[in-house]
Amino acid sequence: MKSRNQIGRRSLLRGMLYGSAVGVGLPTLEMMLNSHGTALADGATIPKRFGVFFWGNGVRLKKWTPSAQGASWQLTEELAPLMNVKDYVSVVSGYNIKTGNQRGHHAGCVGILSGAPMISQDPKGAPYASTFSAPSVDQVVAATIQDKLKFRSLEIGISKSVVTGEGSTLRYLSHNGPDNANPPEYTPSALYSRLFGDGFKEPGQTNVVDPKLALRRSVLSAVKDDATALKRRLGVNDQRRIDQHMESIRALETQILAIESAPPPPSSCMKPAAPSTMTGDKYLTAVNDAMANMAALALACDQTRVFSVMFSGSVGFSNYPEIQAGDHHSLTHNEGGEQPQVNSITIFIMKRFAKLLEILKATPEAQGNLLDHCVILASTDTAEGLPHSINDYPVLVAGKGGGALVHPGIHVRGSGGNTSDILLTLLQAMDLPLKEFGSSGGKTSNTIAALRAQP
Amino acid sequence: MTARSSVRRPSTAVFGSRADRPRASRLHAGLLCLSVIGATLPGCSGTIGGPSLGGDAPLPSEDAPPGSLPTAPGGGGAQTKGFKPAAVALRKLTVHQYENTVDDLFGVQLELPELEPDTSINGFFSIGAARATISPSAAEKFESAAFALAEAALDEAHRQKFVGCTPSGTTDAGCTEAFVARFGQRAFRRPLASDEIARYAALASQAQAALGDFHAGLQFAVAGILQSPHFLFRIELGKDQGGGTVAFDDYELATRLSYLLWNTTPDDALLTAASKGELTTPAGLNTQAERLLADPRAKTALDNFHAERLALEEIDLVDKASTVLPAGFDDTLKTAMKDDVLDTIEDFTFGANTDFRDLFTTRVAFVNSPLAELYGLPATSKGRVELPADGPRAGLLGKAVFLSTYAHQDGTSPTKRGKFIRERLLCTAIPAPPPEVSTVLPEPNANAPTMRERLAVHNQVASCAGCHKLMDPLGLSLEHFDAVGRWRKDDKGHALDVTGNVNGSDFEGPLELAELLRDDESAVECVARQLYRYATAHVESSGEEPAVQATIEAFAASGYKFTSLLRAVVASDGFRFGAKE
Repeated sequence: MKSRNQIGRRSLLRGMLYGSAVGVGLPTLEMMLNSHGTALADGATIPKRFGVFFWGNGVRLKKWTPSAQGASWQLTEELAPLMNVKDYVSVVSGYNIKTGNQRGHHAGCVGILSGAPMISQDPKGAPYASTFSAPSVDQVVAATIQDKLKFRSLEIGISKSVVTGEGSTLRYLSHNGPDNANPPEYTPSALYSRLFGDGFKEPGQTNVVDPKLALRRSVLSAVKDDATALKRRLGVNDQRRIDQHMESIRALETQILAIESAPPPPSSCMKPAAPSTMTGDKYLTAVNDAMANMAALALACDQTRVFSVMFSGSVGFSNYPEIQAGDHHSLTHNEGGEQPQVNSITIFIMKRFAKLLEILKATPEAQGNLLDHCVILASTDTAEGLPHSINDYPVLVAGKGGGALVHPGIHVRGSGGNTSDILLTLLQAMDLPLKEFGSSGGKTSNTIAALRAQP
Repeated sequence: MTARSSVRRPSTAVFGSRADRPRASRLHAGLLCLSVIGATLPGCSGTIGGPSLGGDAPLPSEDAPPGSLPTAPGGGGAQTKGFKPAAVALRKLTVHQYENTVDDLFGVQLELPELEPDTSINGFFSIGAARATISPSAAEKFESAAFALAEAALDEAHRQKFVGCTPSGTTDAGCTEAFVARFGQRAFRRPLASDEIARYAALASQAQAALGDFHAGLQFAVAGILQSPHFLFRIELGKDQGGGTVAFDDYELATRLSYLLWNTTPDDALLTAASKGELTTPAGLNTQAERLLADPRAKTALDNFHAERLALEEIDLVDKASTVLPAGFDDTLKTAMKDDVLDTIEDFTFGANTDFRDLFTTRVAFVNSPLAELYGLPATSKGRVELPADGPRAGLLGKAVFLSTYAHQDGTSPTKRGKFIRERLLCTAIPAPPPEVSTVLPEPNANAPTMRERLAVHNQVASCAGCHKLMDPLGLSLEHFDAVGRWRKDDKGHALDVTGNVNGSDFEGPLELAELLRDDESAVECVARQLYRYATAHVESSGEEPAVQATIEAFAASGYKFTSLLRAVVASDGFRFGAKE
């Protein structure tokens, strides 16, 4: 790993990882760009990236929604933390989850992340649970990426105070389908090992291919043969589960192939300093910052183009020792008046989201930055936690989407439209050839033109 | 079915007695938990907020399609009259099962990377496992674990014993194949087919040749077997019995038995019994069940069942305000709280008093010093203790793990405690709260100084009252226990009213509630249903109800011995038969 020091930026990054406000100053190697700065010199266009930032228990709408619409919107109390990235953010309000509110948080979570209704899992005298009926948007995007990247998508969790007893909906953000989730990594050091451990190559590093890599692929090939033979003997539901197992094995093969071929990584790619083993609610700021840094570098290194951050889970009972507030879900139901603690938690979460955007913005790419090439959806599992409503849903859209999204950002105020309109708009901004999205009451063929860059 | 009149206590079946229930209806099971209260409290029976709010109507997909009953299969033991098996699904090994299994396969506890956690559906990780699949990141973790295990098992110190033959050189097809056949049989819990042996032996040979090292190459076969769906999932194909019914074969039953009673993979003796066809005979199955129950591993497995049933691991993520617990809610105390429940249950399962109903009223507790202090016992108390016979604390409802998990960080929650009692101890479904309703309780004030007065707002909104009447009165009787389960005389100087009434029966405080629960059929039925669900990895379909009733009756007939309930579940049709998906 000698070449790490040649880049000479490690100490800056380390400062970031431990929560300081030091900015990242990655130089752009402009000789690699064409004259427009939109494509690398070899003709490859700069890819668009898709991200989701999600938190539990909603917001305080009165303190969230801007009063002015369009380009003249102003930051509100709960959106104030976004001041450094305001141009990159659009606010969407006045849209509703249309899949029915059988169960506020569950329906809201599944609706905003997939445009589809939840599947209820509550037969007889057993505690209720639910799962997704369709893939979440991050996986809808991931499924369309043709290039063989090291990771199909990256799942990150920050607060670990997630509800574990009510099925996959409350526990996980990213879903491939019913009862089929992509669990997040909660510990920065563990994510570091995955992203920057064995097999990671920085620009200029020689790739010596370990012969064991090919043998690992042979193992996976044998496992797939086992799975293929087994699948023929199973019913439809179990066949789907084996299909997912095989899909995951294929993802692992792709990862090993990416290590073996080690294509020259993009110029702003580098390895950060290893983070500590901190994890959980005591270190929300530090964990969020470390994760945001690594996510940005994973994108910069083109290890993946899709990421999701579950800052806190649906109905999450997170504690915020840094602001002496918690647990979040109980507070939304029990705190009286204007719910000052709930309000302060939303502000805290927006600060962490702002940090993610700031880090992406500070990561140079082409003649701009990484955030220029991102489409990011930020939302939650319910409009307001207190009544677990799913109308007037709080949604933020961030990034320039490689020129596909309106910039500077605006405030779009709907009048009871379908939140799936937002999802379809973002998927089209990612160049997915979709004309409709969602299912059941969540199905739509409408988009929000104002969110797109005007030609 | 045996008549249960000798053990039925209709006069005390406050929470719902079986006698009230329609027995033949297809909706039978769907109505179970509403039998007493549903009639008077429509708010919690699905009329508020749309039809899906009932929460406990059987999902159509859970039941086998209507049609004629399957014919009783020959040879495998007659089926209970009217029993209709439910579809079986692959079960992914839970994290605990994976860990126990590899410990047994390798004969030594090796360091493991962290695996992905299990998801609980309908109250059980076991049910979640029958729906779970393997995500890309889980596949990565299984691969890392497989290579870490293979490498450690084949290191200089362990390889001789582990491989079982001495290779003639860097490659040795005979030794490799013999190893793959032997290790594969333990890992897949059945003998390998010849093409499976060839597949993994070829993998080893390729690696041995590439690396010039027999044992280093063998690692790749081990790592492959440990990533195969035949290892990571418990596969039950069964033998076709006609009419859509399958009977599980000997190896599948060995695996069911082993994971139920030991929570780990079958040992050699069990696989040998399977190879002789012993498990598909009721006597042979019973013999092996007795052998497994007599082994210390049975205690670990029963701990696992009760930990799932009572959601004990929920406490791991619970925190308490420093005003409640200045020293902090650390893992030592949480572990002691969980162990208190598990050790008490073990005492009831394997000790002198084996009437499982007495768990509600027992004065037995297991403590360490901090827990003893919390229970108001001398700090020197350790291990098994008897709580004061005239004291306010007894049984499951007095256990700190339950009282502190189902409370807020800085105060009690009668609703959460009541919900736990309903859901986990009585198997009553509590639907989600209706949308667009404020859930803020009034702050404590002169007119509403304690939770009883503050929770009264639930009675003022019809859409809240139905369900909260199921929960709040139960929890309010426990108000003398604070947010961590310590006894308190009053609530900040305000006297506590801990009286309640359920379906006409008055009670006061935790001891009288415990008496009601002890004598209530719903509570023992609930344990039986939970064990059936845990063993079969699904919530019973209405077609399985005869088998469930048979286990409940056997439980009652034994004087509520938990080991008898286990035997009854093992012997039940639901354990031995399934339906094709």
